[in-house]
Amino acid sequence: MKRIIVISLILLMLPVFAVIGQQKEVNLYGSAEVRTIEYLAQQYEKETGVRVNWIRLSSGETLAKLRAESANPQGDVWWGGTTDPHSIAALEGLTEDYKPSIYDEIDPRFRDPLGNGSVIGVYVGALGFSVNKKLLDKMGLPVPKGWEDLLDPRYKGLIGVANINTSGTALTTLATQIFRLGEDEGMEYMKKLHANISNYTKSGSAPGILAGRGEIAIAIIFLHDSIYHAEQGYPVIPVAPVEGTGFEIGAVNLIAGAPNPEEAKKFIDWVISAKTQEGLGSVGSYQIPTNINAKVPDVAIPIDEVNTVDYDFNWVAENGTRIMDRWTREVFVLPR
Amino acid sequence: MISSAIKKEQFIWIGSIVVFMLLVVLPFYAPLNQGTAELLTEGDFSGTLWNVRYEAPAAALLLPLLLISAILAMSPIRKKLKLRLFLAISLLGITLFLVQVVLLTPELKLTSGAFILFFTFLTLLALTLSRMGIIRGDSFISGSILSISVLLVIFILFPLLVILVRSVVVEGSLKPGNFIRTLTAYPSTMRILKNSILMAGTVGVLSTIIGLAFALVVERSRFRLRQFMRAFSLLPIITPPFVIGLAIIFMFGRAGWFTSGILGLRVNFVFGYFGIVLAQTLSFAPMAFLILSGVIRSLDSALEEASYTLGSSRWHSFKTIIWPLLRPGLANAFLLSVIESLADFGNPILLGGDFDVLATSIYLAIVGRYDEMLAACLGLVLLSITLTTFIIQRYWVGNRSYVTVTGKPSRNRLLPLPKGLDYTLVGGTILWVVLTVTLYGSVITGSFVKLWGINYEFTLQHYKYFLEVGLESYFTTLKLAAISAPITATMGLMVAYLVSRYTFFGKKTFEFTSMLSFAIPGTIVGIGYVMTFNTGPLFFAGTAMILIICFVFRNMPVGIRSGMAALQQIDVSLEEASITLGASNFYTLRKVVLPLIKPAIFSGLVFAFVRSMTAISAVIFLVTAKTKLATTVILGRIEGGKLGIATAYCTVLIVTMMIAIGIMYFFTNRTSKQNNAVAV
Amino acid sequence: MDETMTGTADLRFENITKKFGNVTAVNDVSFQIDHGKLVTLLGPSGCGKTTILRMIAGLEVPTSGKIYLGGEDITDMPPNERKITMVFQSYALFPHMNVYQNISYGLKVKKWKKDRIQVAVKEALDVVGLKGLEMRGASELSGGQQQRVALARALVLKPKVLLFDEPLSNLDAKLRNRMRGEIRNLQKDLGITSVYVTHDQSEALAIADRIVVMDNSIISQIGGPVELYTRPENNFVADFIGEANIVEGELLKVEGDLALIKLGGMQLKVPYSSRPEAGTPVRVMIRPEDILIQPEGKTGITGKIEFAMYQGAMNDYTVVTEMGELRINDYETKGVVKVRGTKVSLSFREDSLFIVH
Repeated sequence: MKRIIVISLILLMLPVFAVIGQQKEVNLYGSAEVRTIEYLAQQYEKETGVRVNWIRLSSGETLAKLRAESANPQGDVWWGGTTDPHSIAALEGLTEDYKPSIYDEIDPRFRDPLGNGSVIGVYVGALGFSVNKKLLDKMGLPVPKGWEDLLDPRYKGLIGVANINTSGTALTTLATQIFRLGEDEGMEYMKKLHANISNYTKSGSAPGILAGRGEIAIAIIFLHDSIYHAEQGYPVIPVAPVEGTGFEIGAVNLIAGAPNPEEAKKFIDWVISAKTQEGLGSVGSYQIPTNINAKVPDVAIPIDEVNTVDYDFNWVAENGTRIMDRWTREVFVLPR
Repeated sequence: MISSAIKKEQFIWIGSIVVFMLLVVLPFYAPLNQGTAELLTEGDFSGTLWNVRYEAPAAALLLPLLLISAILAMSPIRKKLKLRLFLAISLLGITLFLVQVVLLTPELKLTSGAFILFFTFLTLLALTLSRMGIIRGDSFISGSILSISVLLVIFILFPLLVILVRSVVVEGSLKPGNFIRTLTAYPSTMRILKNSILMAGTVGVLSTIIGLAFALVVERSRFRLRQFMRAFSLLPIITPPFVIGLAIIFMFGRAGWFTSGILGLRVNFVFGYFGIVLAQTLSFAPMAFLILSGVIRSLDSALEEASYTLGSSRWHSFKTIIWPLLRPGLANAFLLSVIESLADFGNPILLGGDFDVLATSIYLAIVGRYDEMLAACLGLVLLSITLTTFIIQRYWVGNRSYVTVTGKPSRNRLLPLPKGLDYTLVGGTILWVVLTVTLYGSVITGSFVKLWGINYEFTLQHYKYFLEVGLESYFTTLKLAAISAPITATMGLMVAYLVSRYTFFGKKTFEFTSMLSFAIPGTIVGIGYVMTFNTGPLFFAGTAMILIICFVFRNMPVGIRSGMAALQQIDVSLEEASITLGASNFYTLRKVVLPLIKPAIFSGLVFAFVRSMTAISAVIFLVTAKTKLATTVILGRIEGGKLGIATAYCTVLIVTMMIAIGIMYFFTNRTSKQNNAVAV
Repeated sequence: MDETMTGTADLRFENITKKFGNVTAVNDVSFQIDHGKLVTLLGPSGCGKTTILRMIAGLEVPTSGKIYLGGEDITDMPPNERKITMVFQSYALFPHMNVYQNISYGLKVKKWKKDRIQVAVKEALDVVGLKGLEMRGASELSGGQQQRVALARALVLKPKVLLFDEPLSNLDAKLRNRMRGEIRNLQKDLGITSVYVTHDQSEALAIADRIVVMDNSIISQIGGPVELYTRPENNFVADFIGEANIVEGELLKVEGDLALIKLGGMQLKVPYSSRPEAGTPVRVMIRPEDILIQPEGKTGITGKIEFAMYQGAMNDYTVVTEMGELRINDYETKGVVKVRGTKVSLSFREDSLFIVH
């Protein structure tokens, strides 16, 4: 009996003997909505028979995970999420440069946001407002057309955006103002906007739900999320700011030291293909495809129809933490 | 007796030879991405000790040492001398092993061979120590003490040390000032510190008040349905994180059913301080209730009766007799609620708004700013606060009401409360129950309607969707919880048994360390584990194993506490009787102790299971593509705005836990035909 | 492992000391218990007697010294290998088992066959007089029955030494008396070396072959019951065992085994245990029943009755004399109680005095 205990204690210490299946597989870290990742995994399995182990993590969580696992990477592909964490990962050698076989099919404006081949653009999303028109109508307020409209004191407590410290979407919002107005003026704008903010959420897309549920009236989120929420039955409409807006380039990357590098490359080629990118619309992922051959979903607003600012991804990568801290010190602490 | 001594020596002899033979085939270490099974199937023996004798000389020395101990076991020398030699061999073996582990490069992980080797020498040490009488009790006891100590060091202390090191070591050199510098450079440090303390203080006070009200009503009210109140007050314990938060948004948000739908108000108090405080109070009042109901139950009514007979009024008796006796329990409930509140992650992440607290900031430092060092520094701040609170709780008030956390049912009928107080409390607690029920109802309702707040049409689509996409993570969660719960309960009881029945060197530290994980917020455990176990020599990252280990060591304290409380009720002479009748300690534990502490086993099992099912903060960094857990999936759904499926998933989890508790109750009480409550 | 614990053995304590932290519970104790004898450890609570018992059982490990069982050193041997069983003060019956399960517990540990266990348990139940109660729950028994089950449970293993830790203290006076007798007879019949801890001197006298009197962690005196009662070596033993009057006398001279002393005007020859020095004051023990009380004027010392109590079998007097207060148990004049204040003459029974130190 004693021996049983001793043995079970030993067993407790033994790592589970990893049973390595003979089946081909690829491990996917996805930093977009769950439904999107799920779709990619199921679709790829259906088409190729390769098993996709996937997990949905925010881009920050993924970066943390890649760092943690750098000694023995568990993931093969990182799909989705804004450019910045991808570029940090590339800089730290956590991802490998890979040039997909159909690189030429990707819109040259978006395929290489940093200009060094380290990140592959796989979708584009423009920043905008998700407006609960029903609520605004009830309150007798107009639908805002652009950034400057948001400063109208009548919107006090009705606008939501994520916290810049915790969300890529919110950082894009701040950077957009800086590219639109210059750094100091951009901060001034954020201070004025601050007065109207209901609350800052942790997650970038969370304000969209709040607007949909009527907790707030206007959410600053990516337009494709707004379109999806509207489709889900929330009374919201997407609005692209007239003054010009920022955008994200969703990225895909090959993880350095991936356990299944060949499968990973095939998967990357597959997600870039026009067919895959088009297919995402079917689960409500209305990001704009970067493959020039892919059809933009009907409900989506094509990026060319949106007035965009001159968004410098390299500048954001270099100055991200600095403007984050500046915003926290100068804007976030102000009363409202 | 001579024969039994020989048996033990045979055990050493045979054991040493078996281990020696195992080590011929089992690898000592391996590259991080290869496991023993894989290596064996490939016929790759490059990692066996014999093949790495030049790379790992210290470990290779253990092989001849094994042979020596095998020979020694059978050699006819004096017992004293033999034991001394065994002691020397086992200590030398463990030292050599540790030296080797320190010298290994982090690209290699220890594998089965190494673990077997280490525990062989640990077992030898245990056998020797018990034979020499240094650890009282037989080799089972000494083996358990040594093994659990090793595990506590590896899985509780070591990760904390790694975090500490990470916060003060910059690019390979020690810079103690870095800690302060990092915290001052981060613009939000003071704010989140203030927020955390404000939040925890409020929640501590409110949880204690509500817990006390419930305890008084359930234990001493005239109210007929008081046992009913107990069930409802405990409901939040089996709740996945986010459920209460979601429910609060549903009911009290600006578009909430109550605030907007009924009152027509547009108030924004849910996100931030008020929302968190409400959610946490709902979550932690049950714990305060459990502590305080134990205290109230154990109050001797004779004292009160004495007070009445001395002519004081009922109210006066309450004030002068019950209240002073309650105070340590209240302090206990307050401090434990404070710890829970500080460590809570699920509620602040959902309801925080701009109101950042330490637990979430640590997480956000990693995921928003990609700054692990900041996370480590903030982690240390949080840890030092919770630890201080924990130490105050344990050493200042802990001992005075410790026993009663899970006391046995009372024998004597207790006196009812003064009337006025009784009615007030019953009223207040009924309101609270209504609130709880409404909130849960809203979540369950939310899972059956198309879109809460917008479209209340009945639908099963969320459940259908759950069946399509949620089952994988659901079963992973269920499996891991089902594996870890018995291990947790066993370890917890084992620690409780060792601590309450044996004296050994370092017992205080042993006990403190085993209870420590209660005071370590999950977020910190998560980062600590990631930082510690993602490289060699102890590599577990990316496996289900690390989740199980995490669950076991995080959830052990409750098992320990209920175990100790139960053991205190059992006369030690029962165990002594068993031992003098020739039974081993292990046999005694199995046949005498365990049957008598079934309720404690049950509560330990339930708690471990429930906590494993609902863990979020610790596992958020540990889950992998192959081991997705329910809570992380739910969080993803909430962030994605899919509240319908999130609530459906939560409902499924609640139902699952209720069924599981029923099954565990059935199994732990199956064999108890006899009346256990004999006073012996 | 051996199948049974056949054959009892003698037990030897050699310079055993036990410390709990700074407190010395047992201080350099040595004694021997012969094969088949019953020895009681007697002393007030806290004297270390229970600690000694627990060391014999192996439940405590001596700080220093050796314990030998049948010539073998068992000092460091785990308790479950000692073949020494114990009857606990609280009986320690397993509450979740019935009588049969309780008694068969130790046999099951030894992996006996079922039918053999049945026979043994039946035999043990016969011995303690509990036939037919096998299936009773432990909690459904009376105190005396519980006591017997505990005894049967310990006996069934045929231990080398049987230990009793104040086994009768939870019983009422009548039952206690009966159980004493039963335990004594059983022990004699079975010839088991036994150690019996008690604080009750009458129990010790009634049951023991030899008595070890403990006082404050050391042995005060070892001896047979009669020896201890009639020849206590010191004040403590004299006082602890039975009632005793201790009076001061003057030693005149020593003549062989006897000492000539002067006691309240009388000269008496009194035995002693350790040789006193001539010319020094000595303390003399007189048992209350050894003082004759007579009307004033007879020989002996005079005194005045301070307390007089009728006790049924005897009259209990406290008499103030020049030697101090003396306690007298008068079994002679039944029924007639002298009143308080009566002047009386007291004389001492021949051979009943003893010099203690």
